Amino acid sequence: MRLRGPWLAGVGLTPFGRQPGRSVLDWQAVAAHDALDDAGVAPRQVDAVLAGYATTTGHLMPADLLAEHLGARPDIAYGMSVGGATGLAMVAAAARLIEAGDAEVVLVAAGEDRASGQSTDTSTRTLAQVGHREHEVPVGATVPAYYALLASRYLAEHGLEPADLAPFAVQMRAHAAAVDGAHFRSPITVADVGSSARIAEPLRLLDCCPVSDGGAAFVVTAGPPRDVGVRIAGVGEAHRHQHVSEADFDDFGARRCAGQALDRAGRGVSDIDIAGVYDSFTITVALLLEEIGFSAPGRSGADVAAGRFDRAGALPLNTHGGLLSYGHCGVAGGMAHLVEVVTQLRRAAGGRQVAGRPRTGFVHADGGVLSSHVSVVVEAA
Amino acid sequence: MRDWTQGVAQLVYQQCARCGHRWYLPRPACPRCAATAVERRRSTGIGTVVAVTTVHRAPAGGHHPPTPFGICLVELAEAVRVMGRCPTDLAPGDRVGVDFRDGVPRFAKRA
Repeated sequence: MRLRGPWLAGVGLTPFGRQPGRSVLDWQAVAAHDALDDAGVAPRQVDAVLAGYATTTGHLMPADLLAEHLGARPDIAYGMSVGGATGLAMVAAAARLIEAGDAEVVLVAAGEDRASGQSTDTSTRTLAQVGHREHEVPVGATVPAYYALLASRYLAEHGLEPADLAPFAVQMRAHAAAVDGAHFRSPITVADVGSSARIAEPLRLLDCCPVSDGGAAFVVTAGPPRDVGVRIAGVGEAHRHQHVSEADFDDFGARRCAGQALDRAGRGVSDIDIAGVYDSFTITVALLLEEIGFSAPGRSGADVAAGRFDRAGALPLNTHGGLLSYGHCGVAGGMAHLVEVVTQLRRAAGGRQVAGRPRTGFVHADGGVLSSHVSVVVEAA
Repeated sequence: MRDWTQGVAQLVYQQCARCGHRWYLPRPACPRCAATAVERRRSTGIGTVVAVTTVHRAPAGGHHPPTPFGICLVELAEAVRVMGRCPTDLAPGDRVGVDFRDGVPRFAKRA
């Protein structure tokens, strides 16, 4: 039986961290060349280029810019911008282009000098603009404050303490310790999280991902790859609100989004062998895991503390260290989770390879304040 | 009817004249039924805290008072949700009322 694509034929991921000297275009090109080489595809064979936005260099035409730089001459090129979900949204769009017969080889790329290309104050002010320009931003909110509001409501609803979220930071750091290229690799404890600097209570510094430089890319193809095949079995999206002031705290959209992707793949949450879930803050991954159904309401912190999401646990999660420890350079940050899941499904993760034979992976990202959601289900052929 | 973002110290929400839906972030048409017959109404400013944070790190050049300062989301009696500043001693479930400092809504506990 010939398995249907679309196929994730190539992946590329640079180290993340504070790494001055490369521009947005440099990061995107490095990651794109890695993905093209991995897929065994030349730039001239690419017939669609999808590129993510960058905050340090807001080019009007990022996909055309990257295509010219690489020497690709695609029939289709577009830039995309749905916040942290942009990377997976581009993968979903690539899958749709291929299913529609509009493209055979799609390059998806993102990268940014988010850490070294601007000051921390500039980065914080820019990101805060996901809030409402007249009714939220003037109050003085930042992205950590928006997520701290979500954390406040979550902890109050479930009768939990800030320390109940800290095990996510500890687990992501434990994973990153084994990963070359991670922004932070030194082990931390729950006590370290609780004594780190207050950012926007209840969130402390170690509840928050770092700002990094780096890039990531995929090649999505209609035909099967030359080596180990990983196919995109289902994608889903949901876009319910932009501003936290109008969010439905009991239904952010993650459940709808994941349900679509799983239904299309003919899978349920219990079929997932390995996951990558967006973890811009500890509260982000907690809310997403619970709304999607990987943990019971209010229980994800206890689950991670009990080792359920460890590399050796029942559902290995963010085995590259996630945004919290591999790092976050913008659009590419939310792509690293999928690179890792594909690497694990290929059984190419070396010393951090999960046990058994993972066959089905699930990846989810959000943008804004749990505003945009994209899920991707992938399967080893 | 102008609100605090336009220099008048009051909270204003909108209500659809067709379907009755209420919302806070301004639009010219109802986000539920798309009717353009929309009324602007003044809120009492009384409500319940949904969520609260104390901000310790805020960027230079942003809109904010000296750190630390509180930010809260309040479900108003009129069933719309509003973001404002607050003292750092609020908790979800507290009953609050609004006043305005530096032109920005500030919620505090009601006696």
